[in-house]
Amino acid sequence: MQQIQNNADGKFLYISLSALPVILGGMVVGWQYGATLYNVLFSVLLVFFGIGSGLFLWRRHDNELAQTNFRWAQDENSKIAAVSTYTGELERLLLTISPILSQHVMVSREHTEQEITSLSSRFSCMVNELQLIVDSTDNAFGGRQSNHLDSVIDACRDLLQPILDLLGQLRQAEQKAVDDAVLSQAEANINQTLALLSQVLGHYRDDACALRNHAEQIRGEINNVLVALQFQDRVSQILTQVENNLLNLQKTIERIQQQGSNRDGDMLEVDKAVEHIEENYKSVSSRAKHSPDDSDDDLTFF
Amino acid sequence: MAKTIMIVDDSASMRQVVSIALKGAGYEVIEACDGKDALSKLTGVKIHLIVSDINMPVMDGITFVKAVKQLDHYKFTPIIMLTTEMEDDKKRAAKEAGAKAWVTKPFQPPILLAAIAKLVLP
Repeated sequence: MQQIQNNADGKFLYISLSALPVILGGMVVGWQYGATLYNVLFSVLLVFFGIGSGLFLWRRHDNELAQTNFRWAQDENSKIAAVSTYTGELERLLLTISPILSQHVMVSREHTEQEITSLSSRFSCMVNELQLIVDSTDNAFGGRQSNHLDSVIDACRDLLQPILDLLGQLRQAEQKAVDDAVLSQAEANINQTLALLSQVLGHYRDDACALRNHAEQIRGEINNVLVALQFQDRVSQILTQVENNLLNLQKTIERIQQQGSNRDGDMLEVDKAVEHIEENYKSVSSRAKHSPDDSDDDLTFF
Repeated sequence: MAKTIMIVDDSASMRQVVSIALKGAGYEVIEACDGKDALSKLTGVKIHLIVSDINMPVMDGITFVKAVKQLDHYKFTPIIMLTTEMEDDKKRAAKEAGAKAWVTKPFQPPILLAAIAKLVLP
């Protein structure tokens, strides 16, 4: 901090000495241009006052900054002291624990080595015994035991090989299976197509029903026309009968007229003529058939 | 194969009306203007049924039916009388001659076709 203060005083003197010639030069120029000495001195005093206050503010800011740095440095020193304290404690703890740990490691290692040694000796004994047994049995059965085992092993291999091959094929088939998303999309497309097909078939069915109804209506109209034609035919027959009867009557009258003075009233056989007309005309009962409503006796089976 | 029906009627328009009704139902038709004309056309051709009027010139329907029943080839051919007559005497005479049914004019095509469907030879 003393160093920082010394540096601030030096800078003040440096700036003041540097500015003095400039100030004096300014006074001279101002005086030459007619400015009164009072005004010049007043201006110089204002300049010195401004410079002084700026320097004062700058020094105060500098002092505050220095105090802040001093407090920060104190805090850091305290923290470093605390860390060093913890480190020291850890070192003492490690120094206390390390001999104990090394002792435990040595004990477990020795124990493990002992176990390994015992197991290996035990297995080696078992292997030797098994080998002795195998050798003895092979010698007893002339090597058939080993051959039997080999055959059993081969049989098991043959039995399992197809299963392994099938598993491999299944795995390949599974890998080649269609993606679920594709299946669902295909199903959706099929359902949509089926819906459209059913809709089209429904329209065809409706059109077929409409055509059938129209066909029935046309058939009914044709039947009505056929019945009407029968009536027309009947009327034409009647008219033909009437025409023929009138012609016959005309001929009869002409014949009578040709008799001249020999004719008499009996020559016109009215009853016979009427009877003849009635015979040619259809029966009275058929008149009822001109009415289309009477359909009780239309069909009779014998 | 379509079945063949003979129509015997002196009215050309009536033969045409009956022909339209029968052809519409799938039958083949042979026309005759009276009994004598019909007998001349029964020369061995297969006839599955005959529809005949009664009041016809030259040979009436009752006489025609009796003549058909004398033909060995056609004595089992069913005959339907199609007429305006309704008298019981005429019906009795037609029945005794060998007719199988009686349809009065004017006829409804469905009624005639129903009678034909019931009697036509297989």
